Amino acid sequence: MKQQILRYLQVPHLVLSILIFSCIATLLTVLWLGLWAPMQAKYERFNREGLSLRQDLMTSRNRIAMTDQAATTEAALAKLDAKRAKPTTQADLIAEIGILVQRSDVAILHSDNLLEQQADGISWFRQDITIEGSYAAIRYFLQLAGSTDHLTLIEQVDWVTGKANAAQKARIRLATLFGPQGGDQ
Amino acid sequence: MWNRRNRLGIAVSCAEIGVSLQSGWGKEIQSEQASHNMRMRDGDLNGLAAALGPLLDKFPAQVRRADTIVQVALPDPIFQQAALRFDEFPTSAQEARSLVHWRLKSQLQLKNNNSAAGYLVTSQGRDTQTGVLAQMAPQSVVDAVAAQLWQVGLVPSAIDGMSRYLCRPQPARAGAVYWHGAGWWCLRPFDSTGAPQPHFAAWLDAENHPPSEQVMRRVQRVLGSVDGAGYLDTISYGVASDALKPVAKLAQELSIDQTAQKLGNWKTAAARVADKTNTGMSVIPAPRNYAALAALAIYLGCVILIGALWLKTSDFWQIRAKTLQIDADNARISAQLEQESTALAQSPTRDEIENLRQRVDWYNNQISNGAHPLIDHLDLLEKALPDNVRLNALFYDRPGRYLTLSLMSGEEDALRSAYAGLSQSYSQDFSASVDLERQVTLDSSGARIYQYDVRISE
Repeated sequence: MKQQILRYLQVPHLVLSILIFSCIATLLTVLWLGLWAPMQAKYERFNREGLSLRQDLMTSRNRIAMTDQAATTEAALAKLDAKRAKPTTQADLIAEIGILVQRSDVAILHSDNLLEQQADGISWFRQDITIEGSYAAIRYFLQLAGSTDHLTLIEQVDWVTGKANAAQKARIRLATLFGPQGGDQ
Repeated sequence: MWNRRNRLGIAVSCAEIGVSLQSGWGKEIQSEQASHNMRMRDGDLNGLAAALGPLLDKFPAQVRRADTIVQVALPDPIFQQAALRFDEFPTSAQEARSLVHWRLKSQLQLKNNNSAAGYLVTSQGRDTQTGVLAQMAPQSVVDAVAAQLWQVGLVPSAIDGMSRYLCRPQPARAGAVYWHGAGWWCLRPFDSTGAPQPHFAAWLDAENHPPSEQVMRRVQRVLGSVDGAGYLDTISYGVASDALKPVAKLAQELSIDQTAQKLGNWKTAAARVADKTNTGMSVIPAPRNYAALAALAIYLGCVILIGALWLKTSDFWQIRAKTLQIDADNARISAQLEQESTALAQSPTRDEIENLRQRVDWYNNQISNGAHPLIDHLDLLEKALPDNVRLNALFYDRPGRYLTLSLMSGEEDALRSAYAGLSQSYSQDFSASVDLERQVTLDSSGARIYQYDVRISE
């Protein structure tokens, strides 16, 4: 067999074909090892880095969004704190309602109030009032009551609107949260 | 290129061996000869390798190449010939060789099966029989030649009688070629078309023995049997010119043209063997030459590799472009991250976030933060309720995060439509559910009033 192979390896065109094949194979190997494989490795490395960077960017964006949200929340809380900490008394709050009644052109039929003081210096001042007026007047009163300088909430409304142009009555419970003055929770 | 294979002629006589190498273009490169001690008459070829080896060493290395055509000529008495005719002759060379072998053994009445046969088609017509000149040699001789040649790195392509390489017919003329010398004589008749007829060959008593009377009678008989025999060519080797005078005399008596040719040395005989391609009388089939096939397969592999190279190159440029793009993208993202790192430096700490969360929770607990103020409900109701549907009563509870409505209308369809509109508006704007708690129908002064009590939960 060895002798047969040696005989074939002396045939010029066979040797030439083997040489050409070897040259191309060598070229392929050299290109593979020297060019393609490093480029493929570089491509995969950059891809991995890209994925990592995108994740970092997403994390960064999330943190920035969280920072913005925290700032917004902080501002809203500061506004609530400011309203709550504004110095006031029961008399001031009752008087304030009186002013709102006058501005909205409704009449007070009944009024009652209750102060609840909590251990942490926080107080709830609740006013149950029954007012009478047109739909628009009662609506305006409710709008004013919900946007005072104090942290006053409309907790409950029992409103029988009845006929369109007739005088309407609404029982309203307003709750104002205040104190401790100059501090927060 | 593929057909231009070098040819090596090996001529073996009873005392000498000649080797001649010719290029594929027919040019004689080198010829050598040497004497040997083999007993050819007994079919003894055991010393062939020993005689050939030193001779071949004088030749260039290409002589042993796989694609070299090696033609071996042996003394003619080793071969027996016969003319055969076939009604149907196989087209496959292998089948034809088997059929000829079988017929030849039958015709020559040989019981010994150990023989090798070759043939040459001499006449062939569409509606006529196929004429074949067939010859046979002992298998032991053929095997011995192959084995001895292999010992010196050669594979025989053809094994034939010496006179087939030396004797050339005159075109379209009947006659005969007479060979005398090197230990045997041989007469090869040709018919009027130049087709060869079975030869007559026999060993000489001595290597340089002149033709005997018996031989001359045989030659005369054969020439007489050839229709219109017009020539007798004599080729001799190693005998004195006078020794062949009886042959010339015979030709004169028969009034046929006679020529005489004398080989100067055995190298010339070997050159004749190398020069002529065997046309089919060889007793062995030509071995397959795998060099061309292997080269073709390798070139095919080259084409595949070039294809792979081309594809891979194309792939490479694509990957390179993608890599550059990714690199640019990564640089852009890195720059963005660099920019954002300033903003991130001001981001709240975990403790600050926790503090904020606690403050938000505290407010949510205290004031039910997140529930929509009543004014927002009123805005929505004023938009959603048509004129023919009246809001009769409303109850708002912020801590309970619900609102109940009492809607009235003289038209039930309008009320139903208003309810559907409210459901859709609250679902979209407040993400709140609207449930119908009660339906009431009232009769008032002959007119019907419909009432829906609706609960809206946030």
